Amino acid sequence: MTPILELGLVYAVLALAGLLARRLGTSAIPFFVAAGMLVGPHGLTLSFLDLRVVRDPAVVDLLGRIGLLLLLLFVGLELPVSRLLQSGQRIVVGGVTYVALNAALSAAYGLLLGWEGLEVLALVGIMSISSSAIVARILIDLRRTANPETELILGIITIEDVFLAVYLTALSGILLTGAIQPARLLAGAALSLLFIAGVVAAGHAGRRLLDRALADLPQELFLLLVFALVLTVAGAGEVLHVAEAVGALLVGLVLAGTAHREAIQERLLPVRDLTAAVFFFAFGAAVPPAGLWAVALPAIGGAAVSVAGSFLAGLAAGWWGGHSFRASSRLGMTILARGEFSVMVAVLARQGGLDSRLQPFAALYVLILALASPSLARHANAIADALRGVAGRWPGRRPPAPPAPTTASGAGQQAVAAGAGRAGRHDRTGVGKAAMGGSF
Amino acid sequence: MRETMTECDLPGIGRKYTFTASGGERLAIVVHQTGTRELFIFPPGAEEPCGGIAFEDDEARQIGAIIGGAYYKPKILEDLEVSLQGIAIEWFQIGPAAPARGKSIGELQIRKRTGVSIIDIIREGQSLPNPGPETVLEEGDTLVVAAKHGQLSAFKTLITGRQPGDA
Repeated sequence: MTPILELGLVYAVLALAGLLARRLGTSAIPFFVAAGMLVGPHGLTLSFLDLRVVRDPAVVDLLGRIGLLLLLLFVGLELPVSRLLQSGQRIVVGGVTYVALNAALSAAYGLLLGWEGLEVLALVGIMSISSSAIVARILIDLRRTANPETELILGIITIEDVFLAVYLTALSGILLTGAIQPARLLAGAALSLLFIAGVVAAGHAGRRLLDRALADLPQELFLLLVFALVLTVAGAGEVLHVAEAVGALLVGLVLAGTAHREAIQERLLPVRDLTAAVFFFAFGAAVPPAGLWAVALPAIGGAAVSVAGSFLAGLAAGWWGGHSFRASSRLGMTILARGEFSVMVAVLARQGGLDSRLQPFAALYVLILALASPSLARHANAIADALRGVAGRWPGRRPPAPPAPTTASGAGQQAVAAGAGRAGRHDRTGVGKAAMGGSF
Repeated sequence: MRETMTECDLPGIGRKYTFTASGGERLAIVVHQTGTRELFIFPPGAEEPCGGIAFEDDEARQIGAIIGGAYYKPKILEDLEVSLQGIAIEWFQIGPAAPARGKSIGELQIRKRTGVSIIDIIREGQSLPNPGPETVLEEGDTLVVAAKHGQLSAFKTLITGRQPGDA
């Protein structure tokens, strides 16, 4: 088979997998991973049927790596540093509670499985970071975008994205510098920190230059320049033992500060979608099916731990935010969704040479949660009602005082305010009227 | 002034506007990044909406125009606008399929047939005020018109070839 035909078939399989996911009303990510397992080099072979489309994974691997870089470029571009600084106390408390509780539970679960050290650290990443994409999808599909808990859900997702950026940087620093000898680790960590600081400083100093360089460029040149920037910085980072993923994230953060943030997102989105699907496929293709059976039980257990952890953390965050028991239950069951970030951490773990059971574990874990979380989110009210008899009275809490209105993302809102004419107050953080009273 | 509207960002989804009506019901409008507008109704004191409906961009604009009073004004509002003598200012864009495209204002007999006056044409960012009957309408033109109550729908049919109410 020629490489082009191979790639064509891969995309055909991906399209089918995406179609199936759409039919089932769930995220496509785990289906892309499963497609990779099914028709990848370790794929399904029966006596006369050979589904293996990809014999030589080199082509999908390269395209998939670019997909990972673009995924992280977008994480960096969308990382809402300024929004984080003005987000209310209930969002920060909720987000930190969510991440801390889930990280603690998954670390305990990892130790229970008999894993240690770095494997547990990787497991924490796989199991505690929700998928922004799937959560947004669920909220839209279930028509809950206007619900009172939705603002808090999206706020917690924001905090998780920031946690992801810090976590990935730290994990890649520890993994790729060779963690065994402390002296080498320190030197390596210093070098990678220097690289990160260098990129951030250069980006800060060169912001004007970037602004001007990208201004008024035709589509083609614009794409070429941004692509070159992402790949060179990511690649250069890899030479210095900074994961290429972190390099791409940094470029995203730098470009987010320029005036072209939205243009970059708009223009690179199709390229990202085209390559990111292959990234998930390539991840699945690298998982040997023999490994799947060995981790089946741990993955099911992990999913159960996350359901419990997410539900409890949701209750805590919802209670703190002054939401009802039902709303808090919806909150926990919606943020439960796991997806692209779990896969990313698993890939980083493979690059760092960690226990090879982590990848099949992540694949199964994401698949189980992707199938379970939309229906858990859908039935969150019923779950809350069923638990109410057991849990007794929900101790309602008055919502914390709304933060003072800020003037961050300017002109558009002013125009809206002017257009709305007689409309009264503009509560940008949306805490005021939208938040309901405590008890239900 | 009563506080009637709040707005907030929904990162990754869009923006939400919440209005509280004088009766205590709330209306939430979510403007999605995709352009879809979703409307949700909350009964007084309710936490979850009792119903929702989603509109595509062009549908939402039409509804916005109806609420704004461009199609029909109840008598009470007409009385309030006596000073304007019931004249509404509206604007229309000439689409690629509009039958009026390539024809002159005189040829179309706009004022004679609909009573609407074209007071300005915005073409490629330039304003052509008080266009004469010899002016030819082009694709992409935005027509600013003055119309009395009831004249707009006939005008819209003439210009766009669509009956009012067509999507």
